[in-house]
Amino acid sequence: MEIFTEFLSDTGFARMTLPNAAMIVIGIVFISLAIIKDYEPLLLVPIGFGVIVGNIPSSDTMLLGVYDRGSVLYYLYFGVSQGIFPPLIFLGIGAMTDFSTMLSNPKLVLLGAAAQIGVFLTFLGALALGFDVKESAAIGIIGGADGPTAIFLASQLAPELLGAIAIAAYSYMALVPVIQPPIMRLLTTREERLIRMKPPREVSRRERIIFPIVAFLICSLIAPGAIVLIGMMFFGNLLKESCVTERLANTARTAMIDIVTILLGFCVGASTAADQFLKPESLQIFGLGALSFCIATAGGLLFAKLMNLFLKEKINPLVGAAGVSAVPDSARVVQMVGQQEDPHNFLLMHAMAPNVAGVIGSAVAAGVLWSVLT
Amino acid sequence: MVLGISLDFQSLMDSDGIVIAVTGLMIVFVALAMVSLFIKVLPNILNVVSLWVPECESPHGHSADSIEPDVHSEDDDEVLAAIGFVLKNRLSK
Repeated sequence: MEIFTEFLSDTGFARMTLPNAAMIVIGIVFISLAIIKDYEPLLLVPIGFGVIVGNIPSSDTMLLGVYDRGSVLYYLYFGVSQGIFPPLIFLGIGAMTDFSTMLSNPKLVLLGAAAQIGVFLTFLGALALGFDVKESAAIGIIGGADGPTAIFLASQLAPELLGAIAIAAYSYMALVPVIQPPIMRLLTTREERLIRMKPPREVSRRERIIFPIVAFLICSLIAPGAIVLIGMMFFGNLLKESCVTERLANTARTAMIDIVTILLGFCVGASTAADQFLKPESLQIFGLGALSFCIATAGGLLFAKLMNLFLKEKINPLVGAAGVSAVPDSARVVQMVGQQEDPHNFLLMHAMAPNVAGVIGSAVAAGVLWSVLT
Repeated sequence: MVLGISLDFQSLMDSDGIVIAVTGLMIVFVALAMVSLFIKVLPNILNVVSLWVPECESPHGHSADSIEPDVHSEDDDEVLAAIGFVLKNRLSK
């Protein structure tokens, strides 16, 4: 009877706390959003289930959670805490990214840079809220709208905030279709939203092969801290464009990125144990994350309008909103908002240029912050 | 103190936050501007290079555009049928 009583006191029911229960509900909400609303299901389902797993209370003598040295989840989480998974995700992203639209209209690259203002203004906002400089940098990178980059920088600069930063970054990426359209409509006139852009020119195979090599050299020589992320992305792109390593490229963009996404999402979710996650700082991080997405979107849009003052061939300012990475969701949002004004205006291809430039920009921003603060 | 949140702007100065932010943003701009500039001049460079080394579209018997996806033609028919079905449903609403 004593053993049975002891067993009962060790069950999750007996040890369940209100914060744990609240986190489990959040996990279920994530899964519901993914399944019902189709918001980033490939990310929210693993993260949501990870949140549930990470909040099942267990006995103190059993090593189960991601923070329990020696547990299975601890070793899986090693890929997150040491920043191993994000570069592998970047390899897959590179292997599936077509830079042709960017190569056909290079001025749109600048919109990807402009949107990074969200990173640096949020960095300042976090400092003003009392976070230390490394934590502020890790929080600011949420504005890059790039989950792997946010996880990578947080793991290097502020591991204690990793769970909150990762969840904020992925949640807002999933909410891009909700966050961006009102800002896009607010900051543009109907005439601007109706601007049609010239179709992109055809890009030669040589250009597509040379680009990843030279772009890597430029970015990494300017910001060596970006080598890991940028290097893997351009390496993946070279595998794709060289046409002689199709098997490797295919593996990188399918099986490998899927495996790493599963592990990354699940482990990030499992790292949100209530006692680690439910803190006032997490709420502040979520607030700053939302702000950074709004600033980044506005930054890209306003810079596009600024460029139009000097350009003969005007660009549709909506494509500036795609400067926040969130590939390809923000480009899809541009297409959607553009087509609400003119159903025959196809902005998706144009928006992909600042979209992929934003990925490069956020990785460079992460590299700069990492270099400066270590 | 607004809504229970206190803002300390002195910490921006103390930790060189503004300098880091401005410098960081400038570095990102310079990096992407250089990438943009390189993309702009790349076709011209390749035009000159191709005078000596003409572009060979398929050095190994295949190019990016010529690689066929590994799917069977029956699959194509099924995909086309599915797309047609969805289009018909959408248009008939």
